[in-house]
Amino acid sequence: MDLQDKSVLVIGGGLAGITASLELAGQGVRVALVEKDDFLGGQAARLACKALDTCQKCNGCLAEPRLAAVLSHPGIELWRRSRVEQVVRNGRGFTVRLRQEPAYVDPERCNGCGQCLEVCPAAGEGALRAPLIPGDRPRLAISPTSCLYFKDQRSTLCQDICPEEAIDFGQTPRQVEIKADALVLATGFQPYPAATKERLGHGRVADVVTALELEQGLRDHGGPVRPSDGRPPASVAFIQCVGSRERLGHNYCSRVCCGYALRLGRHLRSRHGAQVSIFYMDLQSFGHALDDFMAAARQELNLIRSMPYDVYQGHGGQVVLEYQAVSGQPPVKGRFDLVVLSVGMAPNPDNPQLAQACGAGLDHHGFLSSRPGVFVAGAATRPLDMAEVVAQAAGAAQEALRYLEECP
Amino acid sequence: MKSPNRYGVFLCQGGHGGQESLDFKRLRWTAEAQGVPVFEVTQACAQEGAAAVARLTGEGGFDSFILGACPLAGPGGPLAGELWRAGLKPEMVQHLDLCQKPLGQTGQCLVMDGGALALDQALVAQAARFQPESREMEVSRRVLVLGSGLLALKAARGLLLGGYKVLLITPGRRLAPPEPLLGLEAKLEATALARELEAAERLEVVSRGELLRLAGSSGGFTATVLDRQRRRWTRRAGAVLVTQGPPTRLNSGDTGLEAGPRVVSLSDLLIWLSSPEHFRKKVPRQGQPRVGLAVGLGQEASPMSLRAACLAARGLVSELGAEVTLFTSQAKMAAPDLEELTQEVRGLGVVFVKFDSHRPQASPRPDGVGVSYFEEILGRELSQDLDLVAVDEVPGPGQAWRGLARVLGLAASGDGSLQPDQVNALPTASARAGVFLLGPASGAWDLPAALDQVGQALAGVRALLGQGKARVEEGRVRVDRRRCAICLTCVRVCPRQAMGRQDRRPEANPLACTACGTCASECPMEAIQIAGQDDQRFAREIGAAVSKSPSGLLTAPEREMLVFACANSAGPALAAARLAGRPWPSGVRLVQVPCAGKVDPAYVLWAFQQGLDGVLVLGCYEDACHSLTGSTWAAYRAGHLRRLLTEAGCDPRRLISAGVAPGMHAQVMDMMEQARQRVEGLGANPLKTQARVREFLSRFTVRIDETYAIAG
Ligand SMILES: Cc1cc2nc3c(=O)[nH]c(=O)nc-3n(C[C@H](O)[C@H](O)[C@H](O)COP(=O)(O)OP(=O)(O)OC[C@H]3O[C@@H](n4cnc5c(N)ncnc54)[C@H](O)[C@@H]3O)c2cc1C
Ligand code: SF4
Ligand code: SF4
Repeated sequence: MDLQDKSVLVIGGGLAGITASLELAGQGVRVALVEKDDFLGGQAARLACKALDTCQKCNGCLAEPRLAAVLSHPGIELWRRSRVEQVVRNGRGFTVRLRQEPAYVDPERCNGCGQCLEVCPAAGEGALRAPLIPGDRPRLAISPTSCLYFKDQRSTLCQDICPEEAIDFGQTPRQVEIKADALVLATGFQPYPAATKERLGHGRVADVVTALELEQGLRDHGGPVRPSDGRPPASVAFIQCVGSRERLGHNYCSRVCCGYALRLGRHLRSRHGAQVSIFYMDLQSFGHALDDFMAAARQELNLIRSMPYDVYQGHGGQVVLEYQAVSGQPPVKGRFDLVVLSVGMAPNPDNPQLAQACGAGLDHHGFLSSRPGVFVAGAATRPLDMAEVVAQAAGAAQEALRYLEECP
Repeated sequence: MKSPNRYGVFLCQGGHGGQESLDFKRLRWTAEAQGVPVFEVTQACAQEGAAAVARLTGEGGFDSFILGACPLAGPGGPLAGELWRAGLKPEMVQHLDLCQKPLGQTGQCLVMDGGALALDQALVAQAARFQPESREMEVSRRVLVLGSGLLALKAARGLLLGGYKVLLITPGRRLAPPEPLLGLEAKLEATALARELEAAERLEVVSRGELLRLAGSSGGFTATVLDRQRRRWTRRAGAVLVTQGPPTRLNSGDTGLEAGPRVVSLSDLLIWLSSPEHFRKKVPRQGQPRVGLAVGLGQEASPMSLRAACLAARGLVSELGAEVTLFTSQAKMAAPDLEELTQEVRGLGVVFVKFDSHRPQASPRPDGVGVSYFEEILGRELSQDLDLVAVDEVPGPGQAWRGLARVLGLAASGDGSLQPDQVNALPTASARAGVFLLGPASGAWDLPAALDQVGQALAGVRALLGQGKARVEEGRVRVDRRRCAICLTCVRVCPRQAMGRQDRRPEANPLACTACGTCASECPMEAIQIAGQDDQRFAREIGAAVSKSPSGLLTAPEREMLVFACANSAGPALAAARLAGRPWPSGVRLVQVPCAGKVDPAYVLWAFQQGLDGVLVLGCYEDACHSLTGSTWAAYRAGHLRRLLTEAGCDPRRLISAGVAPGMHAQVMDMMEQARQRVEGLGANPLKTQARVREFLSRFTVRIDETYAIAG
């Protein structure tokens, strides 16, 4: 029953996986945290603070302290760039085979001097990525999907120039077996791929971005920019429910999008002086003092209950949205500097395979649910905001602890 | 008693060859002047350099050390791992960013301007470093659960399985009372749980009971209970879970839907619907009953209300063949499978009428309700005659609920929630350490979310009470008995209600205290000190932050600004900004504080007195403060200080305070730069010359105790 002798494998290093790992390690359980990406943090590490002069309670600051705690926790072993290949259940425990992709960059040697960035011909395509949270390592990671070396095996400019000799293209993937007494699946969600909705113009019209792209831009640059000319937008439209509430497809409300759009809208208006319109079906906003929040939002933002059905490039560099304001009347054309698609939370496409390999439950939307020994944490269970993710993941860790305590 | 803290200084020379610059030598001299051992290492950001630091630390037998190096060698760098490998604790290093070179640029590492001052400050902080001695504290393993519904029973079961004792107090007569809004499955589950728990050994149920008083604090509450026989008795408990919510009222807004024979609550309707005969008795009518459901017409509703309305609609149509219209404003769909449920009831013929800017007007009669409204999509006036309208419910906290809030030491907001409107409060936390709020106690949650909170609260209880013994750090908050006037300001201001009274005197409960320092800053007698973060340390640190003019009074003073940075928000944001390659503005010195609430007004005055030209206090945004009210105190004090500064003839604009989130690395350096420019524009602090004179003279006079100087 001693928890010190137990170990848990946590799959997914987003807010949920981090929270569950800290809860488990806090009770003395040894934790192996498996993340497929180069860096920890998941989606939460891409989101920006949406404060006006006062905090809007967007939860955007919940991830940082927890991430910092995981990065320096001696009881949590990190497996970045790793995926689960095979899970064998033996009695109450598991043997998990991981495949870890090589880093190519030695995290202990790389000091982020950035000389590689200067010579990389594919830097613009994202061949070298910086961590989501500046404290994470390595300081720069090579992404095999864009790096030219992986196309022709010849392009080794960065390896040659690195003064610390931190880059080594000769590394190969490795496989390891890890024994664990329980599994936690915290593999999160997938932001709805906006380009699938052709008509909404993502990928076709330059100044149509997803909310996630807007958030990441705010986080990295401190303000919004129009992709086409790099200037701050004076007018912004949000289109809600992109990839949510569809009869054929994702037939559920993603729960977070109205909340983040209202907050982003108020933030853009108060901090960056933009005029903001939000197109919606029903506003899904929650929380304390909701009526006050909504009254302020109604005053500051142009809230329009209608869904634009066409988005195209207009003259003068603006984006045109066509929508029906009142039934039976001619459609309205709205012009905006920037259009933001409020993408929903789609199930992680890895879920079916994960459910099968680990023995977790899979619902008809494609989200996961816990089974004895296999505990699901965070947005892998259903759309949740970050405060709820923290609560849910702490609870999932609690279930896992109880399972471990029942073990002989 | 503890042995004094033994510490050393490591200075990174950078990568390429030794540092010969005067600035680097000054660093060395600064440490040597204080008699602290200094080591120079090469590339502390790389593994070999870090390993050398770890080895020398072990050999030197240091308790802690300062590492002066660029951010790459800081947290997240290789040093933590090397220390761990050497059997040392990563917490022992205090990293100090001394490097001028913007990261991501090549070339020689350079010492930043003012580096020696920063090191001097760090040495002061290091000398005051607190080495906690931890001890075991006995805590009660009994948990008080308020409520008797599904959440209470789930929590009680979890607690019993975890080995805790449970004292369950409910104002009702029995466990698992009807909770119609939660649906049938919840009812079945609650009933089964109640049966299962009947025979539980460590469970004590007080039905028709009342909590009269909750004294003590986290880990050791004393609950006074009034039971059914009107007897009073007390029990100790380590934690409290509140699972019940405020009473409710109809959410009619100004629709005219006042409660009456034909206007009822959604809960009542769901109970009527438990049998068709029951419903027909209540609503006698030949033929098809016509029913209206109103959701979210007053305040915005929660998905739970919409779900309940859909369940009612389904029952009405399929069992009674009713004609149902659902009036709503924003249809709150954000709960699992609710979208599908609404589609199903629409498929059954239920009509949804949604309002944005309009609301329906109802005129209830003894035998029906007339409703007229403007249909926004069609753009027309419509009216309907209905036999019954059921309205959703919203919290209507009354006397009794506010009374309970008072007993718990919490404040009920207008919507009845006992939770502070605060980001870090998360779903279950309250403002009183050890009291957890579940489901309706903190807001209108749907059932799956509320069930998740049971798990989170159980995790909180386990972290707090463990197996009945908790490890705590001794002596963090010290109350000086000779100075304390027992005014109990500290008891009132502590955001976690950690300050209690022991033999009439204030004493902090180490289980609840987060060492935010709010009490220390507010104590009018300066009787409270936070170990390692005491006034003396900050006074010295502020003093060290001011450049001394070695050549006497004649050098033209450059603008110097001091930043008090909260370790929860501004500290990480600044560190991240440095890691992202943003340069540190010149002339700006940093003092890190555990919370903006620790910035005693005296510190700010002291800084101006010392001749600093500006002071910037960077803390969390008020509603995102990690110690709940630290930033609120900071804002309040800033207002007060500006008045004082004005009176003293110092421009109040020299004091700037702002909120930061830890992820704002893209903005935080700009905020500092803007503040610096403002201070630049205001010219030199008029007190500066005076301060320089004093400093010059002090070389010939005896030093006064700085703490006393602050207190006086
Ligand atoms: C545009 C947008 C804006 C949002 N804004 C807000 C907001 O303002 N406030 C708020 O509270 N919430 C917001 N959210 C929701 C928030 O992002 C989520 O609640 C939260 O990030 C979920 O955390 P998670 O850890 O469960 O999932 P994720 O963040 O998705 O983390 C999952 C992790 O698992 C890894 N992973 C996935 N599959 C595998 C695999 N097979 N093997 C190994 N690793 C794997 C991923 O790489 C990732 O690191 C927003 C969401 C979106 C899309
Ligand atoms: S990130 Fe969001 S919650 Fe945090 S301070 Fe900013 S606005 Fe508030
Ligand atoms: S330091 Fe903060 S938490 Fe601790 S007793 Fe003082 S005010 Fe309370």
